[in-house]
Amino acid sequence: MGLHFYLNGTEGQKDGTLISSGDLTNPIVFDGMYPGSATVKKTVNVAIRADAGEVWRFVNIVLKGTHAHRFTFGGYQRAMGNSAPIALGEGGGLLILKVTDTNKVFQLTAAAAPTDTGSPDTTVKLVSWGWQY
Amino acid sequence: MANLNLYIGGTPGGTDGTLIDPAAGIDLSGLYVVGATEYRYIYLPLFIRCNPGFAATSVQLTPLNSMMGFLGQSGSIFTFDSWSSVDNVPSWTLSMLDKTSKFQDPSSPSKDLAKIGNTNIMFFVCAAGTKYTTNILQNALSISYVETAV
Repeated sequence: MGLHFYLNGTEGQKDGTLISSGDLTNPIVFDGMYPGSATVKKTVNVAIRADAGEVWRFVNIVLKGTHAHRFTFGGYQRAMGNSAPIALGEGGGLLILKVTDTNKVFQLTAAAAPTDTGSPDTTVKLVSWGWQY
Repeated sequence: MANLNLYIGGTPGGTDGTLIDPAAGIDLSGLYVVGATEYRYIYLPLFIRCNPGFAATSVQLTPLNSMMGFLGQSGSIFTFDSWSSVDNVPSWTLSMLDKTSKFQDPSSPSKDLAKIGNTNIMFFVCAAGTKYTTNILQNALSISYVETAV
């Protein structure tokens, strides 16, 4: 029972590779980023879906960790049809009002700035919670 | 006795949920809100309804904490009175929100919240996880209203 994240899933399908939870056996990897004097970004598609037959409502997806501010979500409309791009580090997690056992796909963008240290950072985690109905 | 109450874990349009007392704090245990520095904002659905035999008008919800607000826009908060009201609004199906443009101004109470009857009206509290060091959301909100027997 629960919600899971998948890499390279297709919207509305049940495909994709399960992202590991806590043991780094299959994490989301943002590699190949080399900031010189400018910040560089890389985006991956991530899907969320519930176990078979489950319906979850009001699902929050948030990032936690020391460098969580280096990540942002995309691929979803803002409220009330505002289509303005989401800026990096803009406050807010992702709110999905209904998640079933087929994929909901969103984009997760990571940024590396010239002043960043400590690469690779493995502290940031993608977390979700909601209510099962 | 006041007859307008707040609930968590309910159903829009239903009469369910667990009664909460905002004065005592809202228990966020298990919601991954507390204990880290970069959770940013979370969106917590709450439900409001009157006890049978009563209705409320002139309902104003006021956040008491500068690190929280309500999901809304232009001086009003978004409310949902049924599952269809949640599911049938395309721009709400997948919404990403930010504090500056989509939160109700914390200094202003909600205006003209729909008349509250005996079934759940749902709204979202937006809170910054970084604010809290315990699992209890303290000083979350106050409710002002006029109650009538019906």
